[in-house]
Amino acid sequence: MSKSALEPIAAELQAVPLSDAEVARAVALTGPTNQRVREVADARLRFEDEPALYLACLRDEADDR
Amino acid sequence: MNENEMMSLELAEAAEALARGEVTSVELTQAAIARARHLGPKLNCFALLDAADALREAEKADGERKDRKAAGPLHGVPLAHKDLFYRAGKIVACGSKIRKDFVPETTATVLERLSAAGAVNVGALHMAEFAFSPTGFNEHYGHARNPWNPEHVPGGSSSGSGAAVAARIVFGSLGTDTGGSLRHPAAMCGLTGLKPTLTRVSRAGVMPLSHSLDCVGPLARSARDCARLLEVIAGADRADPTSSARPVPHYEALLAGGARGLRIGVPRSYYYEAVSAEIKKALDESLEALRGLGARVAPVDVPDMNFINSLAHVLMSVEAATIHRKWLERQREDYADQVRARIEPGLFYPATRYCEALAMRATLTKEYIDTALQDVDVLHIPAIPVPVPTIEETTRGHPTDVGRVIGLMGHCTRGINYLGLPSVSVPAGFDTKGLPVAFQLVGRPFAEAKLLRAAHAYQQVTDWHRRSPALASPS
Repeated sequence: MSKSALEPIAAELQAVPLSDAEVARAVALTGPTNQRVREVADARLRFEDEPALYLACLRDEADDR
Repeated sequence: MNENEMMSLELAEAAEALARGEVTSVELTQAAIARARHLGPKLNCFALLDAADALREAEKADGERKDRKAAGPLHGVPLAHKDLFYRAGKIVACGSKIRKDFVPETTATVLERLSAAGAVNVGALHMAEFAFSPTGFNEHYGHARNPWNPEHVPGGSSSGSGAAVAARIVFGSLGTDTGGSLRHPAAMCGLTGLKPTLTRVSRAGVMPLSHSLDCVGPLARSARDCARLLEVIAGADRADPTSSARPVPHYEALLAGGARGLRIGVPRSYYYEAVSAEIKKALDESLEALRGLGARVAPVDVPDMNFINSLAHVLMSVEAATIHRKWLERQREDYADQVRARIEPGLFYPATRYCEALAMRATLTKEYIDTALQDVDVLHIPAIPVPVPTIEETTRGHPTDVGRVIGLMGHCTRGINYLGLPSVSVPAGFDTKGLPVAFQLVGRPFAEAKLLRAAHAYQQVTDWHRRSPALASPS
């Protein structure tokens, strides 16, 4: 498998010396997760959601009971 | 006190014996060093034994005690920690070949806090290469071994921490937990291990695996010991801007509340899907013990944990690949195949996928809390769903079989790291082969005091955490 098939990956990562077999293995490992996260993100992710909200969530949901 | 009696004490008991003058720090430290020399090679649990410095620290601690100088809560107690906490001037190899000569110029905040509390450092402990294994596998330095049966894995990646504390070589240890790396060795070695809420403990001066998931926490014999260690290491740190400014409770003083009225949720799905019959039996018995203490147990639902595990995988592998990319390019052969295979997928997730995994975190954490923890104080789940595997089962045989066994180790732990919630692993008995069994309690953010209180109450009516492997008590 050619790395160019891994669309899109950064040019600098094309330089990582992986054999075709290893690239195929990486694709096999990432493919199902990639697809799954993408589908859920399509369905659920909102424009307002951003990583900084997570730390606020930890504070807001803190155990104070 | 003879050596066995001294080293059978729990950490807090040893600190009390020191305060009463029943034993000196030099005596405890000499015993720890002797055990490290005798048992360390059998268990392959030490990366570096620092006997000279340890004895110097112990003599200083005894001198301060004699001069009636103020003593901290760990004054004179010998500890040792996973080999990824930086200590200025000392080699910190992180279980790797790549960093085998790495000498940091700074010291991890948590180590400084332990020193300020009076702890004596005996050395650095074995770990999985760059913390990438739930079993204790390390191709470069050999597999660490379980003190209950050296043919079995001790759990990882804080493998030396689990083995050394269980073998009564040291009284407690710090480890890290990115997907279960504190809770696995705690569960498999019959110890108590706490993964705190993300941001509760500073990570400054700790070799990272994944910035979004890494937590530093204590591994010791009892919940009380973990409370004492956590109180020392938790709290805001200028060197780690992600550390929480939330005040640190007096965890040990809060243990006394008991479990009466505690509401415990037992998930209907996911966590018990892979659990073996003998583990289930031990978990049911632990719930009965908690009921007997006045806790109320109710079934609860949990969100799709398989999806949450997928998100954890994206964060972990992408962040690890970012940290390791240059080494992967230049020293690829210096990684074990098993380790490289866990990092390299991170090179192939699009940046959008990584950002999506981060962006959904608040929503999913709130959803988990609203679903599973809305009407209960803590969740009770398996620590690992199957009996502790042998080293052979996790290193030899068909890759599919080995992968399945290793995958099961993180079934009940890794999703908790994505959510950032606190969790404690508590010993709950032994399987038919004599290897430890454990349950986890999971709470809302910053519920460490509640988790430790429940675990402590359980440990007042059970003695699983007090039992020690035969090799730790030679006749």
